[in-house]
Amino acid sequence: MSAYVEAGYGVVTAALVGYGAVVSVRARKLRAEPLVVRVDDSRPLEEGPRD
Amino acid sequence: MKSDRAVQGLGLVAVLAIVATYILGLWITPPAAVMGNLVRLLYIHPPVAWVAYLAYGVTSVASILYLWKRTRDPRWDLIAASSAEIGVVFTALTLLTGSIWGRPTWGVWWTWDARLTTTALLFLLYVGYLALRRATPDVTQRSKRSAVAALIAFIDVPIVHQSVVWWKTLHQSATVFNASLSPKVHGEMAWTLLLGFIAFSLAYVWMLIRRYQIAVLISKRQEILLQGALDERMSTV
Repeated sequence: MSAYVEAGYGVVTAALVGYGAVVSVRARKLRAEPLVVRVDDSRPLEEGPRD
Repeated sequence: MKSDRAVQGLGLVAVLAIVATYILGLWITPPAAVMGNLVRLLYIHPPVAWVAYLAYGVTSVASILYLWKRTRDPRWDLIAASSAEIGVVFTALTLLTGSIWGRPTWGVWWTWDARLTTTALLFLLYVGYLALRRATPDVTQRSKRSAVAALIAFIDVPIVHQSVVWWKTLHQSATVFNASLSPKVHGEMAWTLLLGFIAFSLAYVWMLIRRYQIAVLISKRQEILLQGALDERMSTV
């Protein structure tokens, strides 16, 4: 088998497995992660103009 | 849950089809009379290029549906973006596998041949599309601008396909989707190539569903976070 053929199949396999894994894991993580609204309350709110 | 199992099943079928393509392409099919073993790259290079076309086609249709007021829905925009991202991955693979084939066949990794140049341009156009999406923070504006950009970028797809007909190029003419629609491969080589087209198309559909799910989750998350921040702000005023 030519080294070029092995390289071609290798590149395609690596990209498909890599992209597939990233997409799959990310989707699973987003679904499992609870949504928490984080508000920075360490800084006091500036008072706006009052009528 | 049922639909998620169906998606998992689709992913499994895609993997099995790709493995079957690899087995047939690497070990079962014979070497070609002229190309020798390099013909084995033919079982992956055209299918990968086809998926890139398919992905950009889906992006274009989704963009039109978003731009058309009667069918406007943010989901079309998310489908367009998801498909474009996959298209970029497959265009990169088209360029890489083509380059790997070109080195022993033409003696160079790269040449400014019409097919190669227009494909490289296609890659850059859709990388630009993805960059544009990141550069525009307003959701509605981003969706409209990127839909227009996707349609402009798609003009290059038929140019890429016809480049081997319109110009005298080093790249060979279309093996399957040629003007007379008569494939230049036969027997087990043709079946293996056909399986390659099906296998990579299935992989694309699986990737698109997963990538779209991510896009929907991120979009919902951003909406909830924005609403939460607004509620918090309103309660303190």
